[in-house]
Amino acid sequence: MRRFLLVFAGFFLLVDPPGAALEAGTAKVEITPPVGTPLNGFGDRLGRSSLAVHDPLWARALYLTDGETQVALVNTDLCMINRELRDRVLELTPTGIPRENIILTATHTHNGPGAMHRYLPLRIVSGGFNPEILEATARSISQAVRTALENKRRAAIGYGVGKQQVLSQNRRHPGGPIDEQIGVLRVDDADGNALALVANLAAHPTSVPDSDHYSISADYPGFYYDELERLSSPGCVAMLLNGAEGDQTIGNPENQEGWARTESVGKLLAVRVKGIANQIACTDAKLRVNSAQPTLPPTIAATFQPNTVLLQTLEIDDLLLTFFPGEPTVEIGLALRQQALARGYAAQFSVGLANDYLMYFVPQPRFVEKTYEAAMNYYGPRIAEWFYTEFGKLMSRPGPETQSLPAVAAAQVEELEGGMRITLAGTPREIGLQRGLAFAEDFKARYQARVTGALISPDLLPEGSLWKLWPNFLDPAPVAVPTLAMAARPLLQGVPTSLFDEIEGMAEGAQMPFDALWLLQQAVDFKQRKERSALFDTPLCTMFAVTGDRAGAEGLLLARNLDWPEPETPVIVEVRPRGGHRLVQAGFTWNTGVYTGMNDAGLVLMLERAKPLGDPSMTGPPIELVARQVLQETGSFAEALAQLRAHTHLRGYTVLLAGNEAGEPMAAVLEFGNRIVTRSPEGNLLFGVAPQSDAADNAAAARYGRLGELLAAEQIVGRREMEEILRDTAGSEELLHAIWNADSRYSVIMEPQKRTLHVAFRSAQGVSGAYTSATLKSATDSLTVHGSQTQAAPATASQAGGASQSVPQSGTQNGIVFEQLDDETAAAIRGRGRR
Amino acid sequence: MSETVRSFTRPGLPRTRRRAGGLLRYGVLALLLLCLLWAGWVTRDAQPLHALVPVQQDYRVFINDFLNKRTQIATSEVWALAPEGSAIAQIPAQLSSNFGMPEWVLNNLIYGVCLLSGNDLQTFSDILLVTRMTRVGCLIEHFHNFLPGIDEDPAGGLNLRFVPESHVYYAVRGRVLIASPSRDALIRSLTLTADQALGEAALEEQINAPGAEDLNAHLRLGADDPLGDVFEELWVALRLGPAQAQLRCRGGLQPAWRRRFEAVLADVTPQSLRPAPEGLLTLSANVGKPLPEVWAALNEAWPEPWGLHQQLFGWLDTRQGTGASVGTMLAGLLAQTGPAWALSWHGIDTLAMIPTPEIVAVLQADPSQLEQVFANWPEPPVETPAWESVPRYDAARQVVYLPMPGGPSLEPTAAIQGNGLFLSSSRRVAGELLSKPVAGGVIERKGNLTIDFFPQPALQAVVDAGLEFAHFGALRGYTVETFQAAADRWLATAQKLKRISVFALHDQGVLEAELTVEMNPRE
Repeated sequence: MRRFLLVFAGFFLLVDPPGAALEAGTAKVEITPPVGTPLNGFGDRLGRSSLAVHDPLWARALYLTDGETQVALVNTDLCMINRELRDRVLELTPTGIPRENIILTATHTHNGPGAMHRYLPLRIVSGGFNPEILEATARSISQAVRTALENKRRAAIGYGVGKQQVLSQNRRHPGGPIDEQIGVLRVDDADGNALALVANLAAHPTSVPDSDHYSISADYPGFYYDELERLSSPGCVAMLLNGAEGDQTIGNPENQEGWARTESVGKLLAVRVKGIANQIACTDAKLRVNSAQPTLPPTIAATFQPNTVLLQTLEIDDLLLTFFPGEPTVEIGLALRQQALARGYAAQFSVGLANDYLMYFVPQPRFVEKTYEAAMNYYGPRIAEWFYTEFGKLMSRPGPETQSLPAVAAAQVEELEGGMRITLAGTPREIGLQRGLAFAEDFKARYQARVTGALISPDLLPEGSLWKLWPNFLDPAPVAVPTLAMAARPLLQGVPTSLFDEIEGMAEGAQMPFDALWLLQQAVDFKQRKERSALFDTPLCTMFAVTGDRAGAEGLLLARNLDWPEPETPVIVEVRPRGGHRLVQAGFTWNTGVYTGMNDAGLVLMLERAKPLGDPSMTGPPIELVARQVLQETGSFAEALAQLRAHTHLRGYTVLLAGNEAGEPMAAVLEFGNRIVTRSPEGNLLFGVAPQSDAADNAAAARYGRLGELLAAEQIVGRREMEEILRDTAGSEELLHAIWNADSRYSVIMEPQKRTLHVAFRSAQGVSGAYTSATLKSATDSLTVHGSQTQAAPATASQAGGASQSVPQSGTQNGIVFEQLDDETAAAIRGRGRR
Repeated sequence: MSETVRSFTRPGLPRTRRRAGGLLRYGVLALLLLCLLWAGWVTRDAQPLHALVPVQQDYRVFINDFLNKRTQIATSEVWALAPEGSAIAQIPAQLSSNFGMPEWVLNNLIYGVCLLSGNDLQTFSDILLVTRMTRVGCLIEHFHNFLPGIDEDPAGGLNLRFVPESHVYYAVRGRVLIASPSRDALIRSLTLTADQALGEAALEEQINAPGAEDLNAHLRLGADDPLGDVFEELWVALRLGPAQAQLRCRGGLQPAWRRRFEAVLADVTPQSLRPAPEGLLTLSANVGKPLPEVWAALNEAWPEPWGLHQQLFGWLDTRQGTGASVGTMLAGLLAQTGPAWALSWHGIDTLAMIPTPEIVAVLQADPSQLEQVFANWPEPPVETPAWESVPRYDAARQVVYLPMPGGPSLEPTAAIQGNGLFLSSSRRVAGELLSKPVAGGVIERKGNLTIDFFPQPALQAVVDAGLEFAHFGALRGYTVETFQAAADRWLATAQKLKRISVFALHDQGVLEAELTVEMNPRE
């Protein structure tokens, strides 16, 4: 107790409102359910019945009116206020009080009744649905409101805040932030007797000892109520509004165990609240309730989470109470308080678990953590900002001018034979938005095919797990996809902020949940780990570099065919980030990372899956995002090599890196297996996978063996020879033994010295089509127009997210110069390429 | 010499005329009489029907008074079960169509019993129809030469007729019409000796078999015939009423099956059956042996693919003797049970943590012995948490239950009910049913098994459960809307059905079963 420090108390409400005098009424009605009712909050109970009542549960209501505004503030000893309960309470509550001014809150006791969830997923935690429990609870809450209204009398109100450091602690990060504030509302009758004392503290009521895991209890609030009412004048109703308690739990100030600890915290809180309340002088006050029903960000758990929610704020003169429909972590509460204070409010209380339950809300930096709170955050990484914005709109005191983000249009998409081309420019968010807007429909289709359709197919569910018991008539996606999303979140750790923002932009542009976009990025590697189907079998072959004299005047040439079993349309994407290097990559609509790319410094990166090197790692960002990061951040070969080697978590791929170092062209292959092996060119040739090495499976050995034969016949390898080699179909196309095989989607040849990339997409006939060339100019170069683009078709509305237009038929597009072989030459090469 | 004067005045003329008219009349009358005599002669019932039915046929089907009953059959509610547009659904219309003949002709061609028989149960290529015509029908047939599309086939004096369009041979003996698509079959039928024919007594017995008012069949099955690997022969009787169809079967098991199920069926005779607890699907059984014995024998005879028996009893064996365990609970309780037991699917608890079927059973047991078991129910060890899944005796409610995740809806419960052991998959349902008066007594009819199924409420329960999943987007292939639309169609069909019942017994190596389909009256 000595450690408590009172920092602020006794705000006198000096304003004499012109309306009627303040009136208040209080009531409390017991809501203890019958023994046997399942309890809510802990998943390990699995809906088992409660066995005893340790202490009773209550609904406590405070009715306030200043003559103009009526408000009913209800505090319940429940784990949450779910929609079914709120709807029923509102149906039963007298219509005199505007419905949006009825504020229902739960203390979040984990020993309160469940059985009130109508829909299935939450029943796993709260137990089977029992309409009688719902009805009885709703009636009792409604009765509390009605009685408080009936009990109204002339009253005065005041508030204060105190500080604590031992009643709560951060349960997730030892020593992490806590909300030190204890907020107190005091409501007195005309004689100065306390009608109600309302405290606001952020701490999980999860302190009931294991021996009473199945006992009904209000947890520490129960001791708090009893003690505070004992300390106060008769008839005073003690209330508790839990705060931004997502990651907060109670402390142990008296070093107690079991119930003694619970009792200690409850009683100390009561004493502290009483102490603060004693210093509060009450008077009239102006009340204001603001509410809205905004649309929530898209959620990965749309089957059991709503898309709109009721938000409320209550202003009592210059005190602001904000009511969260779930459990915000403490940083969100603290940040919102700062914003409120900046607007001129004297104090702010964040109240969690109000009116609805959307689970947890964590700020963006916490989103990637492997924690329970982050996993249960279903509305994306920017939910905190969403709350700041939406609560900001409800605050009557004006805030700082916020500049809305500039509108971003969909990027222009141009159709090429067998592929597409798009240029993205701006901040990471803008780049993502442009892409998301342009390819929204494709993203959704890929997400359906790759995540909900493929990853969740029964044959891919983990062996030996409960998933295998999933009945065939049920679709596991509604449960499995959110579960998968939780598992994928920690993989965001290490992803640069710029790419994180870009993926967010993509999600926003496509109107999809962030988690869905992230799962889409991960789907390839998820699938690779299972190794059960060829659907995502991505050998990403065949790639090689020719260096030195064998590359002729160029000094360095690189080529690859990308094999991709999914019949996706490849896209040439140029990214012009606001900071860092421009880059061009041959990829697909949805993938933020790079499989084949080059930046404006001539640095080239190509990836190839090498199964013998192991399963892709699931402990950090996927390799294609690492490649993207390297291309965007550095132009130096040596620096890029060092950056790649620093990613020791990577597995199962080889990376062909090429670029310049001190003016000299350089190339190397990194093999990411149990250790990272770096290979240099031999005889001026460098293969993505050495055919005789442990990294080569049968198909890779056949392809690279054939590649070796073809290159041995050429003393000087130029672009034309490379094109011919990439069209080679010797060997089984179906078994992927051929360099151009059944899965080949495009061929790429790179001339890093010229910053030029030549791409040939798979034609309708299944062969490598005509080459399109793109030259990447440095950021300082002016855009010049030369060359021509043929066979370009306007993008369709669906392909371009309904916002694209065709680009001019010739010219330079945002720094990339395109040219295309004339048909005759292309046909001649094609003829030579076919054996 | 005297002269005799003869007067040929008025009286003579009329007499003359009378004589002439009378002669004509008499002639016509005589002719008519002759015709009638001829018709009577040619349509005399000179040939007994039983003499034309081979006794060695593998199947025989008797249809009683088909034409008179066809309207009743065609209007039976049972046809509403046939899938719309299917061949079966066309039958009522065909029955009402007179097969393209004037009704009076049809009524005279088939009269009384209609008998179908043959040996080919795969393609029915030798099916033989034997029926009796009325005299009129017989007479009409006599003038077949005036009818188009009928050819003569002397067949060595057997005088067959052939209808090429439908490839049917037929012959008439007396008033008996014999027809078959197989000429050989028809000839065999016409040339039967007395000992090759069915015989009068056998025919009468089959026609008058109980339940055979509409259709009665006897099938002698070969190994390749449907069900031939199970039954040596089958007797089937069908009765179609306005709102009910009843199918009775009696079958003699093949020796291999008799041997296989000997442990189950040995000495099994019809027993008293106890009423099953109320439910959507109920089953009551009594083969004169306790359920564990039947279960073990069944498993020996018919090892099921999931190894359920092995899993359950293996697990029970390992769990027995460990005090308050589920194994002890089950083994201890089942040891007290007698041969009669009943099982019900009570419904689906859609409000449970996971929608769960509710199963209830009552097993014959000595209440005093059960009381002993309950009274001595072992307490779980003191350190066992109250929520752990260890069976416990609730003295206040006098039930033994097993705490489980999901709460009472998923907690197996046992209690004493009347002279039986009551078991339920749900403590909630147990509480509900145990509070009702015990349905005492036995089912009036003795047998070994009876099943009652109520399709409409059963399907409604399934639909309600499906909707729980559909609301969560977890019903594969359906949204709430598409599932509701599909369910409405299923329910509309199920609404027509009131109840499906099966009653079965075994006696002296013969299995008898009766399937009854009851329809709801059309709205």
